[in-house]
Amino acid sequence: MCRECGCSLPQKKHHHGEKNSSISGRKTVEVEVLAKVLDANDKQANSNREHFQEHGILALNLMSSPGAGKTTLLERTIETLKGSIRIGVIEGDLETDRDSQRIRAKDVPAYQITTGQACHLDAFMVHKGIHQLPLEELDIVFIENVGNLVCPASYDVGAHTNVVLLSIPEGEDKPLKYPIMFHSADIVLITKVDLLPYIDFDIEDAKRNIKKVNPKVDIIPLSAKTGEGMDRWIRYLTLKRELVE
Amino acid sequence: MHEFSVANSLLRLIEENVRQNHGKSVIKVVVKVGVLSGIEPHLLKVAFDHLKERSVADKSELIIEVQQVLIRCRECGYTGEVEDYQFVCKECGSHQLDILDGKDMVLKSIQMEA
Ligand SMILES: Nc1nc2c(ncn2[C@@H]2O[C@H](COP(=O)(O)OP(=O)(O)OP(=O)(O)O)[C@@H](O)[C@H]2O)c(=O)[nH]1
Ligand SMILES: [Mg+2]
Ligand SMILES: [Zn+2]
Ligand SMILES: [Zn+2]
Repeated sequence: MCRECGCSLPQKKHHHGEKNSSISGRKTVEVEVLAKVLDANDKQANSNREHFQEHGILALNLMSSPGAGKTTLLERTIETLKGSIRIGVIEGDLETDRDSQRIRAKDVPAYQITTGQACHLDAFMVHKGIHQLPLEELDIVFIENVGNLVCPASYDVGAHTNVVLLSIPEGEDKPLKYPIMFHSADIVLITKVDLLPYIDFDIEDAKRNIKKVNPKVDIIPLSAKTGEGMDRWIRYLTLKRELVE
Repeated sequence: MHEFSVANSLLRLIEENVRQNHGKSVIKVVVKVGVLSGIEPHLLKVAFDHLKERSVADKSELIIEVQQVLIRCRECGYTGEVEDYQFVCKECGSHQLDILDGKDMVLKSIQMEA
């Protein structure tokens, strides 16, 4: 980081440090800090990633607006991978443990974080969750973030891959309205494609909008209800998991 | 709205630095907020002014410098700002861009009574 302005450009020549002055007789000092405000979170996130890595676990952070289909996708994914890949889930919600109950009903370990007022998960909350899961027995950990297209994008939670879901009823303009979230994605899943016959949603337009804010991102359209596109998602997960080792 | 969490982290960082420098009360705090940080400057100010009450920064003024997204093209070397979150090189159309600035929120400096 450049010591002058905190950007990632190479350091420029300049003088910095303390400037002393006095305002109405009182002695004041200006101290240069240049520290990332969320540095503590970023460090914890890196440590979380190392935890996962040590156990050969692939960790994915699922983010979307409320109700885009994160838990339903997890239920389907767990059913499909049963017997081949062992899954654990960390669930983040403002209130209730309904989602972790849905996951435990599939015989998979799940830890619920209820955030109360906080509209996102941070690396410290996820760290607590990590130690509640039997890591030695797992291959993939999903972190289902709080349903919210804004705040979770600001926090690295220590996953390897950011997965952002966009469901058909939300409309194809959402990537342009929430560019920071879609920019943070490694893969975008366009969910509930079984609804395409009933809703005016132009899927090519949606893909163009996603690529505008994130040209290199992968996109898979799928339906957890009919199973359409699920095979590609499963292949993606399986390969990603192999690459962790 | 996560600006309260962010303002809280900011205040902790300020307190740490004031202690290290044996400062008394804080007069001015300068932060840089990257457009890609997902932090809304107005909400940050509201949250900071609310939370500072019970801290060493209770009488301080928060100065927020908004940092646009600055990229460098790996293909042609063009350096400039990204407009409307469209991550494409204005000169050659390449998507191979490095983000130089505009991602993070940085505490730049603190003016305090010594
Ligand atoms: N038609 C259709 N409905 C779906 C699909 N996936 C999920 N749903 C429905 O969408 C609603 C929300 O699904 P959830 O899986 O709970 O969504 P979520 O993203 O986990 O929601 P939060 O955790 O509350 O943010 C439920 O009524 C699901 O049955 C799908 O592929 N097709
Ligand atoms: Mg859910
Ligand atoms: Zn929020
Ligand atoms: Zn270029």
